[in-house]
Order: sequence, then C-alpha cells, then structure tokens
Amino acid sequence: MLKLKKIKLKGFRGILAEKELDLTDQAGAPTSFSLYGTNSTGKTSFVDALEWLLSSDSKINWLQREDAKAKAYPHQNATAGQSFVELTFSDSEGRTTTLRKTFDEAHPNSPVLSSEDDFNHLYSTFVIKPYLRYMEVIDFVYNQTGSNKYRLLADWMGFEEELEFQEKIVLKVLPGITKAGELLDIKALQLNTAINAVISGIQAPPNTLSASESDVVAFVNKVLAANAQQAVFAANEVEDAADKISVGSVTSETTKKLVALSNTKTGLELVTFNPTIGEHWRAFAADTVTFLKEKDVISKLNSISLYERAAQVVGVGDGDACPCPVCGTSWERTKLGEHIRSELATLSELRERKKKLEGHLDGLLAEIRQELTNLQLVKDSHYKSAKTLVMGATEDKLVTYLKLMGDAQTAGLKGLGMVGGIDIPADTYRELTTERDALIAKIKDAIQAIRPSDEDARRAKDSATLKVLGTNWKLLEEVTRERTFFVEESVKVMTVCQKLTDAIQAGVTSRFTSISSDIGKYFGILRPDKKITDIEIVLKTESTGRAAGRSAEIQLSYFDVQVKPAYKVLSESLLNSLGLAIYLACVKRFNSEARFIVLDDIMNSLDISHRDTILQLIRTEFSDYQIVLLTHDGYWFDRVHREFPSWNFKKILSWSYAGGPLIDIAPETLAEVQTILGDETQAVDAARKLTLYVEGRLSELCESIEAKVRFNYSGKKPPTMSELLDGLGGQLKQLNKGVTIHPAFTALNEIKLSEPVMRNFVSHARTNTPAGLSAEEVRLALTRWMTFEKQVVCETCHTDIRKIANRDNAFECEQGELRLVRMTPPATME
Amino acid sequence: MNEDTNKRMEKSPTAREGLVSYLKSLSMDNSLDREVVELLSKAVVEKTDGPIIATQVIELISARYAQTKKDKTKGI
Repeated sequence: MLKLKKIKLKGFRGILAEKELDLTDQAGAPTSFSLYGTNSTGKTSFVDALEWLLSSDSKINWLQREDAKAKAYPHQNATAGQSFVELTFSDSEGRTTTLRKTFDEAHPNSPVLSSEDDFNHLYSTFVIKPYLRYMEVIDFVYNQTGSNKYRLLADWMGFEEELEFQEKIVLKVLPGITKAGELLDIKALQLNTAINAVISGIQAPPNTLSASESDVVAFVNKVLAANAQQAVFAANEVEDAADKISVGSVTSETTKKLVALSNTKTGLELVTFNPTIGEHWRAFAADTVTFLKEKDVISKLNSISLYERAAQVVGVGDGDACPCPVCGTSWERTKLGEHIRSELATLSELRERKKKLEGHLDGLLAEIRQELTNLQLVKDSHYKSAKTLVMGATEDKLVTYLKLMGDAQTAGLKGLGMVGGIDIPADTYRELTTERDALIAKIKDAIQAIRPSDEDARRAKDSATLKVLGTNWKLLEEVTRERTFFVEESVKVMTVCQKLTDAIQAGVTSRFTSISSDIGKYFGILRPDKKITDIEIVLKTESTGRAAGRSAEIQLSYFDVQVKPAYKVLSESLLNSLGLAIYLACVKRFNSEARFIVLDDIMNSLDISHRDTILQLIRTEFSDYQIVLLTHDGYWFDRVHREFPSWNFKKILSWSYAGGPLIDIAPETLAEVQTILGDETQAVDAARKLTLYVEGRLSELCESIEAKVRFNYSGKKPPTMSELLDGLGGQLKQLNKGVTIHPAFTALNEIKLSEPVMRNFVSHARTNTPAGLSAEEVRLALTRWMTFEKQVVCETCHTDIRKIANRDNAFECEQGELRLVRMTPPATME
Repeated sequence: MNEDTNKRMEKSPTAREGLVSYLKSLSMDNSLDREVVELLSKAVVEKTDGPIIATQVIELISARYAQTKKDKTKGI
C-alpha cells in the first residue's frame, strides 16, 4: 500500500521558491492531511504538481482547457532546469522512495525523471487518478450527455485508452474501409461510363449505368466485320481482336509505330484528372487556416458541455454578482445567463465548424487516395508509352501533381493543423490538361508525319478503339473482382474490430457493475435524506447513433420508480453527491495499491448541511486511506480538525510572488484561543476567535439535535446568541427529570453566563458589556464551553450528538458510543 | 466477453497493456485474421492515429489483392 510522505516543488506553477508539504505524523509515518488557505495562495499549485508528477504523459488536464500547455507549467521566473516536483512515498513494508520530475525547457513534454523504473512502478499502482478537484465534480454533473459522461467516467475509471481506441475503430477505421469500398464502386462506374461512351457511337447509351457485355460484343463485332475479322463471343476477347486488326494492317515497322501511336493517343484522350480536387483542397485549407486562427476560442471548446448544462441551470433574476460556473468571470446575475448563452452560441458554432472540417477532410483523403492510384496508373502506362514514341514528350506537371497529392495525403493524415502547409496552385488542373493535350498533339503530329493511307489510318483507329475498350473491360472486371475481394477482407477486419469493441464494452460494463453497489452505499451515506436506491451506471448499447456503445448513463430508483438518466429527477446538490460517490467508488474499487486521495475543495459543490456526510463517508469507508484535503473554507477546515484530530493540519498564512505560500501548523481553534490567552493583552482577539467558533458550533448542534431556533431579528436590538442557546436548551431540557438536571443542560446554562463575552465582534455591536474584556473572563468562557463540548461530543469518534430517529428524550453520537438519555431520578425513601 | 477477459482487463496495470494482451489472445484464434490483429496491436502500442490505422488496413487489403493477382499469374 502506497502512501505519501512529502510533496516538494520548486519553480512550478505559482510557487517559485522551494516549498514542501510534510504529510507525516509525529512518528514520521504518512497520515491524512488538511491544508487551509484563502483563494490564490498556492494550494492548487500543489495539486497541479501532483498531477504532473503522477501522469505518465506529464500533463495537467484541467489546464488543457485553458490552453495552458506544458510551457506554462513552470513559474515564469523559474531558472531553467530548476523547476521540479518531488514526491516521497512509502509502501506497506515501510520502504521510502523519492521520485523527482524536472521540467526540461528544451523538451516541455518530456521532463527528466529521476528513475524511469521507479516512475513506471508508481504509475502502475493506481488506475484511477488519485486526485479530484471541485471543477471535476461540477464537470461530471453538468456534462449531461451520455457520451460526455462516458468520457468522464473513462477518465475516472481509467479506461480512457480503451475509449480512445474504440473511437478510432468506430469513427475512423470502419468508415475508412467503407469509403475505400465506395471508391472502388466509383472507379467501376467511371469505367462503365467510359465503355458506354465508346459503344454509344453505334448504339444508344444503355439505360443502366453498367455496361452490358452483349452491347460491347455487338459493337466490337461490327468493327471487326468492317475489318474482315472473325467475330468474338465475349468482351474479354476484345483486346486480342484489336491486335488482329492491327496485325492485319501491319506491313512495315512504320505501320507498327502507327498502331502504337494510335493506341497511346486514344488512351491519353481518355485520361481524366479530378477537376475539382485542387479547388476543394484550397477552399478546405483556407477554411482550416481561418478556423485555427481562432485558437483562443478553440481552446475553450472542451468547456462547451459545461456551458450547455450551465445554460439550463442558471436562472435569470436580480441579485448580487455571481461567478460564471465555467470560466469564473464575475457577472451581475441578470447578465450571467446572457454571458453563458453568448459563449455557448460561439462555441456551438465552432464545434459544428470543426466537425464539418473533420468530415470534409476524411472525404478529401479518400478522393486523394483514389487520385493517387489513378495518377500512378496513367504515369506507368500512357505517359510512359508517349515518352518512348515521341521526342520531347514531358510528364513534369504530372510528376509534380503526383508529389503534391502525396504531400496532401500525408498532411491530411496528420490532422487539421498540417493542412494549411500544403498549397495546390489554382493552375494545377489547367497545366495538367495542357500537358496531356500537348502530348496528344505531339502524337497526332507523329501520326501525320507517317502519312498513312486512309485504309491504314482507319484500321489503326479501329484497333486503338477496340484496344481501349478491351482494356477498360478488363479493368472493369478487375475492379469488380477487387471489390468482391475487398468486401470479403473487410468482413475479416470488421470481425476483429467487433471482437475488440465487444471486449472493450464488456470490460467497461464489468467495471460499471463492480462499482454500482459501492456507489449506492456511498450515496446513501452522503444523502441519507432521500429514498434513492439501486444506483447503476449502464452502458448504452441499444441506441443506433454514432455514440452507440460509447455512451453511459446513470439509472436509479427514485422513491421506487426507476429513472434513467438520473439528472431527470436529481437536483444539482444530489447530482454533486452522486458525482462524488462515483469517483470515490472508482478509487476504492480500482486503486488497490495507491492508498491516498487528494481532494481539492470538493465540498464546494455541496451545501453546508451536507458537507458533514463527506466526513462520515471518509471515516466509515476510507479509514485505511490517506486523505489529503485542501480547502479555502475556514469553517469546513475547523470542522475537519474537530472530527479528525489525529490528522496533520496546516494553513497558508500568506503568499508572495517570490516566496510562494507561507505554511504553518494550524492548531485546533480552542487550542489557538488558549495560546492567544497566554498574552493577557490579546483577550479581545481570543474572544473574537472563541465567539466565531462557538456561534458556528451552536448552529451545528442545534441542527444535529433538531432544536427549534427562534427567529428574532430586529434592527434596533443587537443580535445575540440567545436564540441558539435557547433552542439548544429547549431540546436538552428533555433530558431532565423533575429536579434531576442533566449535566449537559447544566453545562449549557453555565455558557449562558459567559454569553456577553462570546459575541461576534465582527458583525455584532457589543453594547451591553463593559468596554474592556479581561483574559480571565475569556478563559472562563473557554472553560465553560469546553466543559459543555465534553458533554455533547464523543471522545472516541469525535462526532456531535444527534437526535435518535423516532425517539424523544435521547441523543447519541454517530457510532453510538456517547448516548444522552433522560435522567433517572434518585430513588426516594419510602 | 468471458470472466477471464474481465479479470485480465482489471488486472492489467494499464488499459493499453490490457488491450494488447487481449489482442494477443485473439491472435491465437485461428478463425480470425492474424495480420489484422497484429496491425491493430501495433496501433495500440504506438498510439497510431485513427486515419492512419484506416489507411494501413486498406493498404493491407490492397497488398493482399496484389499478391493474389501475382499468385494467379504464376499459376499458384
């Protein structure tokens, strides 16, 4: 079992000078840890550092959405070669290992590792990334589409590589094979058209696009008859028949050359180049370059689903400034909706453009592949023949075009980013056809120079026509055979791909099933107030869309009615709890060796009344894990401190550009009050701290024992804690029996005596007490409070008493160790 | 997907190794095309882009067809 002992970093993110977090207890063993710091004091830099060190590709994913690539990881003033993150951990046998990853400015994506083997071992100890940020819980909740959830679950459950490969197969390989088959069909169609064009000279074009063999044979036999040659019975005899005509006319070497020239001329006349491919490429490249110029917006594309969800949940009304849940910019509430809709419109439009461009690129690549095959064939046959037959025949333009098409294919295969680098000049098609026409003209001149007799010229022409017809027929047969072969082979490929995608889907389903019960259990702890059961993550395979088999949904039973997807009925806070339950279930299930979890401000997504249940979940289900909690919420930090006194607690006192965060030990609040009281002149400061603490604790206790608190606000009267004290007293009073008073009730009444001392100095006026406070007064108030807390907080599990369901006059702590019941009066003397 | 495959996928340190391992087991299956299995295994290991895998698969089929033609010419 691997746990963390120390995180050290230097020159990384917001921390310039070397800083470390010691995650050990007094005996030097790894322990759970909590770090408190206000906003922008460097907490997240530690999480970023951890993510960078723990990711095998050395990336910080949440920064990718802000387009902060690897170069942005080091501190901007860090010395080259001095930005590093170091992690010290120990295993179950107590062996300690320290790993260091150092940023390499020359190769930002390939940092220097202290030991590649040790790093590989570290990566192998976890499947689920052992850190979770607040934004990631929100991200999961707001990403409402099945395919987005699937993607996020892939990230959490560690099947992202399977998903990536599954996508390659489904979205690229299988459509690519289909497209290649379609191109063979197009080739067959072109050959049919060419054949029909030749035979239509004596016969009307057939209605069907496929050339009829009987029509071809009929045409050929007419030509043969005119040349006194025997008829043929099948189209594949046509090439030989063409030779018979030419043999019949050959009387000299000159005539042989005449036949060769005629064949080449006819062949060249039938050569076609794709007239629009250059134009399409130029338009596509221009669109791509324009698209890529909007890199600032493109970098936000990953956030689009957040905006989609945010657009649904953000209401429009009056009120204070509130931050956009996605980009964090502060807006007036009335304008927030407008901002989100505007961002969404921009990003949606961009996403559509990107999809369109990618689809266009796939189509272009298929066209280019086809054109390359065609060009090579033309070069090796007709152009080669022309070069041997006539002087000065050139194929320069063809060769250039062939290279251009090859370069375009290479660039296209690398993705949108490379397309702009390849230019197919506008004159390309014209120059190609000019070169081909020049070749034909040269051949015509050569034929003219021979000055054949009319009879020889006619025979040569007939021979060439039949030669082309016969060649095309053979090519057509060839393409048809190739198409059949291609279909058979495609089936083999598809069978393997299907087996693979089935395996991936089954693996994913197995993961979903294996964690479903834990999700239900954890969710039940986080939200015991709702009757939500049978929570399951299911793989959506029944849909027929592009996302079939790559889409996940959460289904559950909501007050005994099965609901899918969960967001149909769950409120935002319930979805937040669900997101957290899923993540923690994944960690528990799949990270058997790495026993630490870093949680960065994750409670932000839960309201105050439901944060305690996170602690309960940690206590009951993750007691053997090392928890690292980072928070900017002082109240929550105190709460954790009280419930887990054995943890290591630190706070960030301040932050400076050069020095980074100033970290110190964070004592528990009451201990801190005692320390302050060591200086008699600081009594007011101690009272302030105590007051804030007591007021918060009274609220918590009132809530846990379900005390009724009177609403008693008046602008004229200064507010006091009496409503809370009275409410609490009202409940605890039930423990008294006649004149037998419960010690908890007595202790509470004692506190009331110190109430004027414990007043919230920050927001309340202190009008009914003397102007000064003595340390003695505050010390007494502190003692009274501590006496009371001993009555209502369990010393074993550190939880407050709470009301026992369906039972009056009784309260107990979470584990039932501390139980407060109605007093039994002493036996009376008879 | 049988239980063994599930176990293998869960036990595998990384998903990529899990896929390669599964592809290896597929290469033992005589009813499947071994060359395609190998091509896909290589693609997993080398993290080949989707369009390039598609091109490689098409080229494999074309090469096979060319070989079939060649064999036919030789009378094999």
